[in-house]
Amino acid sequence: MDLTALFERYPYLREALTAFAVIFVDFCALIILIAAGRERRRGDRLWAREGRGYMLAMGTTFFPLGAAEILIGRHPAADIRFDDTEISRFHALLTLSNGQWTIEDIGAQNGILVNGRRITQPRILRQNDQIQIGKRRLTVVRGSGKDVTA
Amino acid sequence: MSRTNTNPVSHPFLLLLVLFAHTAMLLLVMLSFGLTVEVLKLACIVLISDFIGAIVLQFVAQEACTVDTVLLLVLGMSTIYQSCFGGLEFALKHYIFGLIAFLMCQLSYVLVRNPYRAEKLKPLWYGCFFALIATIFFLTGSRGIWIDLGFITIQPSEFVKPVFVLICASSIRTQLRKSELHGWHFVPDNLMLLFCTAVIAGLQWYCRDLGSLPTFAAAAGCALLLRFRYLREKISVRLMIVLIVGVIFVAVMAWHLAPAYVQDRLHTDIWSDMSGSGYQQVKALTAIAEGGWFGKGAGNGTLVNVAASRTDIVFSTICEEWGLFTAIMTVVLVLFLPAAILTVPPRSYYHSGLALGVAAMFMVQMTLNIFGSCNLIPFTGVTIPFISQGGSSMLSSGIMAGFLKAAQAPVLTGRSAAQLRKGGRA
Repeated sequence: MDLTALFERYPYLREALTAFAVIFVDFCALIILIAAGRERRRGDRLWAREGRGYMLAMGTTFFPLGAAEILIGRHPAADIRFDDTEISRFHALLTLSNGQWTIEDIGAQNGILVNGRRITQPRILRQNDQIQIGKRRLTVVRGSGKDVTA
Repeated sequence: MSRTNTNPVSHPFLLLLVLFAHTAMLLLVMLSFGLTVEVLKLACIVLISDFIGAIVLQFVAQEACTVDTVLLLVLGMSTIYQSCFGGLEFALKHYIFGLIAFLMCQLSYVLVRNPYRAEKLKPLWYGCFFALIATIFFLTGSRGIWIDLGFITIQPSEFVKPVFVLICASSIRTQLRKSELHGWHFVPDNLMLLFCTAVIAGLQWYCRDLGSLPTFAAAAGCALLLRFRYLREKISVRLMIVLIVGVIFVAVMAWHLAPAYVQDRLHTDIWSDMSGSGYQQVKALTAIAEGGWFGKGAGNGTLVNVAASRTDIVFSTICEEWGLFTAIMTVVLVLFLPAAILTVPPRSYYHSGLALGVAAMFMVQMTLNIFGSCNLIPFTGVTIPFISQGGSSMLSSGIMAGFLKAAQAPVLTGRSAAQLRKGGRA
C-alpha cells in the first residue's frame, strides 16, 4: 500500500489519524490518572490498618493520626495544637513504626503522663491509654475520620 | 505499610493501556516510514519492553503503581521520539539508558521507602554529595562539566541532583535537634543544607554551568519552606521582608555580575542575529510554527540538523515532527510523575521533602527547557527528564522517580520503641 499516495489523495487523512492517535494516548493517560485516584482511597484504608486506626480523643473532639510523625504542642506549626501555658511549644512527638504508635517527651517542661505515670522514655501506646499533657487529657481510641497528612 | 499486593488498581489493565498508547504512536511511525524492517524492529522492541515491564511490575507489585505505569509510558514514547528524529534509526543507547533508569527507579525506591532508615543514612548522602563535588572540581576541569571515559561521557553534575534532594529532605525529629553556639540556636541539618546550596552555587559559577542553578535553588527553596513550617513562629513579618529583599538583592547582583557569556545570552535579540547567537532559538521557534498542531510527521523534521535538537531543544523537535498537541501531552505526562504525590499524599515529613524536591527539580527543568525553546528565557542547556537524550540525565531522573514512588508507598518499619529509647530524646 503506498501510503504517500494515499495521503496525497486524501490530505486530511494523516492529520485525522494523528489526531486519533494523540487523543488515544491522552485517553490512556486519563485512565491512569483515574487509577491514581483509586489508589488514594486504598492508601487511606491501608494507612488506617497500618496505624491501627488509632485517634486521640478529648471529650467529643477527635484528632486523627494521619502521618508517621505527629507533633503535639503550643507551637503554631504543631499538628495537634493546644494554646495552654502549661503546654510547651514542642511538647510531645507521636511516631508510627512497626505498626505501633510511640509517644515521647521532646522537651516538655511539665512532662507527659500516660495512665497517670510520667514518661521519661518513649512509650508504646495502646488502645484506651490515657495521655495527660498539661491539663488536657487525651484517650487513645480506634476509629476512622479525615486524616491529618504530612 | 503492608507488602501484600492489595492495590485495587489492576496492573495488567494499566499496562495494557500503555501498550495501546505505544501501539498508536508506532502506527503513526508506520504512516510516515511505511512498513519497513526498521519500523518493525522499533515496534517489537518497544512492545516487548512493555510486556517485560508488565511482568516485572507484576512480581514487584507495589501499593502505588502510578509512577511505574507513567514511567513505562514515558520511556517508551521517548524511545520512539529519539528513534524517529530526522529519519528512522533505532536509538539503542537511549533505549538502554531508559531501561537502566527504570531499574534505578526500583532500586532507589527500595533504598528510601523507609523514611527512618533513609534519614539515618544522611551522613552517607553528605559523603556522596561532597565526593561528587570533588569529582566535578578535580576531574572535569575548571571550565567543563563532562568526564570523557572514551566509550562514554558522564555528567557528574546530573548525579548531584538526586543526592541533593536526599539532603533536602528532613524529618520533624531532625528539625527538633538544635545546637547552640554563643547563644545562637540553630538546627545543624538546616545549616548543612544552606552550606551545600552555597557549594553548588559556587561550583556552578566556577564551572560556567549556571543553567541548572535554578533547578537546585528551587529544590533548596522548597526544602527550606517545608522546614520553616516548623519555625514559622520565628519568621516575623519583618524578617520575611528582610529575606525577600535579600533574595531580590542577590538576584539583581547576580544579574549584573553574571559572566560575559551569560550577559550575552540575556541581552541577545535573536531576530537581529539569526545566523549567530540567535541561530538555535530562531530555528527552534520556526520548527514549532512549522509543526503546527499535528506535526510534519515522524522523521520529516529539519531541526534535527541543529545542535542540541535531541537535548536542549527537544521540545521544538517534537513539536516539528509530532505536533504541538503531542508535545504538550508529553510534557503533561512527565509532569504527571511528580503530580502523583497529590493523589496519594506522603505519610512522613521526610518523604514529603523528597517528593517536593523532585517535583521542584522536574518542574523547573521542564520550564527552563520549554521556555528556552520558545525564546521566553535564554537557553540554559537543561534537559526534559526522560525525554531528552543523555544517559546521565536519564539515570538521575530514574533515581528521582524512585523517590516519588517511595513517597507513595512507604514502609514504616525499623525503629522500635527500644531503639528510640537508646537514641534518647530528640
